[in-house]
Amino acid sequence: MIRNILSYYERKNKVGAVRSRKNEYIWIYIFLTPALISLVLFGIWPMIATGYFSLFKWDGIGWPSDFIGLKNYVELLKDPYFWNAFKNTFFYAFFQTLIKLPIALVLAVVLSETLLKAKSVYRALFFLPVILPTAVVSLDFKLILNPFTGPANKLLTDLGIVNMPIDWFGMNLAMWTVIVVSTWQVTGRYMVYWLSGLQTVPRELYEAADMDGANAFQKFFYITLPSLKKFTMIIILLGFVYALRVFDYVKIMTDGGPAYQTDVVSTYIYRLAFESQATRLGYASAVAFFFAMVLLAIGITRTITNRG
Amino acid sequence: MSRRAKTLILQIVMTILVIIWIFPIVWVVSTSFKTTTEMFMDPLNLIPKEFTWDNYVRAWNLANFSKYLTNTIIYSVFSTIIVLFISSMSGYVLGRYDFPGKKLIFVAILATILMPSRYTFIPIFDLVRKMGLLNKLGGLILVSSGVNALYVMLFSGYFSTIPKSFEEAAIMEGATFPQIFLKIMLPLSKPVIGTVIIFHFVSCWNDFFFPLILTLGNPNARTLGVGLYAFYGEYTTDWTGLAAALVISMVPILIVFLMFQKYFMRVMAGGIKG
Repeated sequence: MIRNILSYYERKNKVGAVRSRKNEYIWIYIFLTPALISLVLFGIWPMIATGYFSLFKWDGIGWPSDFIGLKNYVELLKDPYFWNAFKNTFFYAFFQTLIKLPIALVLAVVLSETLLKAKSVYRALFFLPVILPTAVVSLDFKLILNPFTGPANKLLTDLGIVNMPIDWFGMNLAMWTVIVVSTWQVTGRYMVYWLSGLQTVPRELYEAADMDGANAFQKFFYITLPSLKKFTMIIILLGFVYALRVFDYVKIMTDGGPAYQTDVVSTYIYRLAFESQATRLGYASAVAFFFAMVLLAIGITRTITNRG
Repeated sequence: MSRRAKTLILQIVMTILVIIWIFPIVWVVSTSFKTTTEMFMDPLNLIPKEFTWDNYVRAWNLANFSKYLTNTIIYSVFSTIIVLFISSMSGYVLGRYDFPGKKLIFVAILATILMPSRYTFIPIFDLVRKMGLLNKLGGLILVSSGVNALYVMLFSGYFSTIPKSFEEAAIMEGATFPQIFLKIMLPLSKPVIGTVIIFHFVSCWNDFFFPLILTLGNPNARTLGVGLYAFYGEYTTDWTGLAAALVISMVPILIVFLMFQKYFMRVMAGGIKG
C-alpha cells in the first residue's frame, strides 16, 4: 500500500519534471530567438549572400538575375586596381603592426616599472586616442598636417628642419602618413594588451634577476620577451587582422589618392558599390568575397595558434 | 644612480612623451577657440589670444551639428538597449541551461568574430534597403545591434558562475522562467551590463563605416562621424569651424571615458584572452 502510494508520487513527480523540462525548453528557445534572428540576418546571411551575388552581373536593382558564373572572378584576377588595393592593404597592415606593437610593448614595460609614480595617469593618457572616433582622428590630422596652414609644417620650417612645406598627403608619402596617424590612434589598445600579458610573467624571475644584478635591458631581453613568446604570436596576428580591416582613415584622409597609392580593398569595394558610374554590385561582391575568404583564412590560423 | 634620481628622470621623460602624445587633442581644442586669422598666423600657439565661440556657433547651427549630435545619441542609446536585450537573454540560457543544439548555437555565435563584416556589407545594405530602412536611423540601429559574440560570452560566463541555489528558492515559490531571469538573474549581472553599455556605446559613437553607407542619401540621418566627413567636403576652408565640430564630436565620449577609465581598460585587456 505504502509502496503504491510512493510509486504514485514518484510517477507524478516524473511527469511533472518532464512537463517543466518541456516548458523550460520553450522558454530557452524564446530567449534565444532574438539572438538567432540577428545571427542569421547579420552574421550568416551576409557571408552567403556575398558569395551568391558574386556570381551575377547585378546593378543592385531588385534581385540579381543575370547569372554569369565565375566571370567576376576571372575579371578580378586580371584587375590591376584590385591587386593594387590588395597590395596596399597588406602594406598598411604590415607596417602598422610593425610600428604599433614594439611602441606599445615599450610603453607597457615602462608603465609597469615600479619606480614610476602615477602610472595609471600615464596609462590613461596614452590610451586616450583609442576611444576617439576615427573620423575625429583623421580630420584632426588633416588639419595638423595641412601643408600650408597646419602646425606640423610651421614647426618644421620654424626650426629650420625643412625649407619647403612637406605635402604629407602627396605622392609616395601619403601611405606612410595614413599608417602613422592610424598607429597613433591604436597603439594604446595594444599597450593595454601587453600590460595584461606582462602580468603573466612570474615576479620571482625578476626578483632572481635583481639578485644577480641584472639591469633593465637584460631583464627585458632575457626574461620578459622569452616569457611572452606565445602571447606575442597571438598579439601579432590579432593586430595584423585588425589592420586589414582599414577603411575610415583612408576614406577620410586620402580617399585612396594620390594616384591610387593609398587605395585599399575596402575603399575599392566602396567605389565599385557606390561611386562608379554603373553600380557593379555583382563584381563588388566578388572582390569582397575573395578578400573575406583571405581574412577568414588568417582568422582561422589565428584561432588555431591561440589554442595551440 | 640613486632610486630617487632614477624615478625623477623616468617621470620627466614620460611626462614629456605623454604631452607630445596627446598634443593633437590639445591642439584641436585650442584651435576651436581661435579666430581664423589667428589660426593661420600662429597655428602653434596653444592659448588663443582672442578667445571666440563663433566656431562653435557655426558648427552647431550652420553645419547642422546639433542634428548630428542628437542622431548619434539616439542611435547609440537604442542600439545599446537592443544589444543588452539580445545578449543578456541569450547569454543567460547559454550559460545556465543544457538543451539540444546548444553547442551549435555557441559555435555559430563565436564564429561571427571571424566574419569580416566590413567586407560583406553589400547584402546588409540590400537587406536594409528592402526593409525600407535605408537612410533612416532605424536601419543603422538595427545593423549596429547585431549579435555580438563578446557580449554573449561575457553574459554566459557570468551567469554560469552563479550558484544554482539562487533560483531554487524562487522556483519553490512558483516563479516562472522569465520572472527568475528578470528579478533575480539580471540584477545580479550589473557588472556585465555596465561593461556592455560602456563598450557598445563607445563603439556606436565611433563607428564610421555603416553610418556612412546607410545614410548616403539623407543628410538628416547623419551621425557625428559622417557629419564631420561631409563638413570637411563642403566647407573645405573653414578650419576653425571644423576644429569646433571635432571637439563637439569627442567631448561626450571623453566624458564617458574619464568616468569609467579603469573599468574600460580592464575590460579591453580581457578581450585578448578570449
